[in-house]
Amino acid sequence: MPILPDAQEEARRIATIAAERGITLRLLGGLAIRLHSPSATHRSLTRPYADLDFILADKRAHRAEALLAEMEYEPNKTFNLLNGDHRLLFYDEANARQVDIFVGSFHMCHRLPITEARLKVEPLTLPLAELLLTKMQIVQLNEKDMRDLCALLIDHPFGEGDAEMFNLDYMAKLCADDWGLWKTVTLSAQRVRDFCDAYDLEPEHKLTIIERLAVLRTALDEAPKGLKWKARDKIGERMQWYELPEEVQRG
Amino acid sequence: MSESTLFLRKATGLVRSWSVFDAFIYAFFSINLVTLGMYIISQMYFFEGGLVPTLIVSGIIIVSEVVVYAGLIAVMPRAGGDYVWQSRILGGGLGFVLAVTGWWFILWLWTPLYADMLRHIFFVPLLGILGLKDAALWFAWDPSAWFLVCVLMCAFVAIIIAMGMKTYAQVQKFCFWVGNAGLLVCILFLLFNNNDAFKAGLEANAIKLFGAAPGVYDATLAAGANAGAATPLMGGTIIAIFLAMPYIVFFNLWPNWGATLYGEVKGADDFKRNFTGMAWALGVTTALGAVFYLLVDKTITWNFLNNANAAYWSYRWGYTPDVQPPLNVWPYPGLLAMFLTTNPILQFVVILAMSMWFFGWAGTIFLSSTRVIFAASFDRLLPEFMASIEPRTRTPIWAMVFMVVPGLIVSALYVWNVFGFSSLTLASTLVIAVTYLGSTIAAILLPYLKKDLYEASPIAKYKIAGIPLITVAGVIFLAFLVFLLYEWLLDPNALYGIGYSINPNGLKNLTSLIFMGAMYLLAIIIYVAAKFYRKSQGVDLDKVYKEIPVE
Repeated sequence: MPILPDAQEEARRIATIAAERGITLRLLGGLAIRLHSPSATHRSLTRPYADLDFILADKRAHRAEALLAEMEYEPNKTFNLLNGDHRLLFYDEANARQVDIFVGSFHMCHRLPITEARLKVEPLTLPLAELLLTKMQIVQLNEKDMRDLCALLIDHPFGEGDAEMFNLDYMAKLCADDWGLWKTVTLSAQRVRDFCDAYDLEPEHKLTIIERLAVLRTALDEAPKGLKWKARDKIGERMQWYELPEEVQRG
Repeated sequence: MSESTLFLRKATGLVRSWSVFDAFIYAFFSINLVTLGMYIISQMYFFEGGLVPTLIVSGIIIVSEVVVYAGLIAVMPRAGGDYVWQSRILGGGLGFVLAVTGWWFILWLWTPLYADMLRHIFFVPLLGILGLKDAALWFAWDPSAWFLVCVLMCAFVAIIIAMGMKTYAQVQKFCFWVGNAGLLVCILFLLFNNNDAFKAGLEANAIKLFGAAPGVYDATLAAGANAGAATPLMGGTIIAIFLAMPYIVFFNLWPNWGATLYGEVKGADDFKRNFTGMAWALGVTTALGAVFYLLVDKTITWNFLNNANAAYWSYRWGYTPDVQPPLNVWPYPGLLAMFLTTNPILQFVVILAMSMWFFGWAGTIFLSSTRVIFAASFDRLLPEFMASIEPRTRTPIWAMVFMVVPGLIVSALYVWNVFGFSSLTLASTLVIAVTYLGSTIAAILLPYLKKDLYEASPIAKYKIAGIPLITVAGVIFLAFLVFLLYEWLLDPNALYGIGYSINPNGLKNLTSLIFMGAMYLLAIIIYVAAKFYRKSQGVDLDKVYKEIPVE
């Protein structure tokens, strides 16, 4: 079956075929947010989707690699050879799209642990908590990230589980284990507060975003922190707490 | 950070596997004081140039090499390093031949050399300390044991490379800290003891651990003098110091050894970062070497160590076949430092920690080479399967096969000294120096042959008197390489034994010349065959070389 021109449909197709082969592949990034958040289609939050981003918990990525090749995606051979233990890149020339697969963990400005159990929470995408964190861990938020964050926050509350809500305890625990992640997430929250005014959103949506970010901030601040976190907190911003991913030249 | 702005980041991006610190450790281990340094310094017993000035002066000159490579990396941070730069600047044929000989074929010869160091700093001392004297001496002297170590080392290296760059970096980091802790203990023992304590410790331990005859200290001095021990620790004329350099560069010519890996290092297009990583590795190692040997002189005495070295190598090389070295193992300075205690647990722990200098470094024998093979394969000069990996373990299986199998064959020739192969030690350095010569010429010409690429690069702003820094540094390093090659190949003072000496007393080492020549011939044959084969497929390799390879 040829690659589908509709990115959303194609993402579903890849995840479904992967599941049939016993490969747990979950969508993340803008398209995953689009699937969960109706607000992503709001006139001021829409944006194009050029990439399909997936994550795979299993470090042995060879089955996913073989699957994508079988589905007629063109692999970036050099990149996959050198980085295939943590990332894979494929291209869909006809639709000018890229498929990006994170292997074993999500590692960008910060590292987010991704377990097989967490991947099983949602049938198609990462759980909402991780989806939110993959965006909030970005130090250099761009326009698309900001729109995605607004859409997510408008449509989903924080709560005690994962069912169409952000698992607050889980997020708070990850941030309590990693000062750097806590720092970037709190800074991102501040930026979303600052920027949501710039979008032509309904006032109640802006209020929802601000209230939900306040809930998040309270939970992050109140979560018990370990010695390592406290020690790192003493150093603060004097030492860089994040990594900056580099652009990859297309093969 | 509190100032709210949005960024124009385009893609998801990638956090590359290695940090600048990981690259520093790789460079630091590549000019490895405990393995390469102690090994080659022990062979330099017959020079007139002082060891410490030789270390320092060569280190200063090699800064020019660091500038050249930091610049090339910043302009083209690609997996494959020298191969990519030379093939894109000087042309495919030259680039391929020089890169595969220096980064691939000659590593076969390094296999028995790495293994020789492993047995002497790991198996021999640890087995001796454990009370297994016969096993220790078997590893010290029996060629079969040495060959066994070659096999074990290749297996270790294959495993560690298969673990991937991130795990490699973690192993390397662990070895870095533990190895340095071990060295620190040795330094403290040397600092807080004196020569009398060493004499007593040597006598007690050499007899107990390796069955040496009583009176080992004085006997070693006599055997060393008989073998022609001459190298001073300090001093020497500038000519004598330079004449020692073709030996010392076996150890310190490699701060750029990670050059082929920089496609996987964060921020590799930052010249200052690249320079800092390699320059710190060179500077710290040079200082550490000078301090360590000065402390050796204080407690063990350089005179004793140099005589022990002379006694050992002179016997092993067959110059004094009837005079067995009184200290009947390689005079490993780390072990000699630990002779200052008779506590076997402490000795064991420190020597084990010191062996991390080997295990953190061992991967350098093949890791950098895999990237050159990959790059040549992507250019279709080598078959595609050479850049394939075993999918489950992610081992570059064919690249490893083509390094390990010939490496073990060359090891057998070296270990059993077939055709006089054991005389080829410095050939291992010569061939890589020729490769560096090619990259250095490429660096000198880069601003003129690839003007657009150079002008767009971060190094374009660095100039000396209006001349590009990379060109100035390249000329200095080129002169050094030409000097080294002249000394090795024509050997006018009969000191190195790997060329065709123009000195009547010098060696005309045909084995060395044939071995090196065969490698260049093999590379030329592969290149010509690939070019014709690809042409028959409608692929013009010359066009491939006009493109900068993708990341």
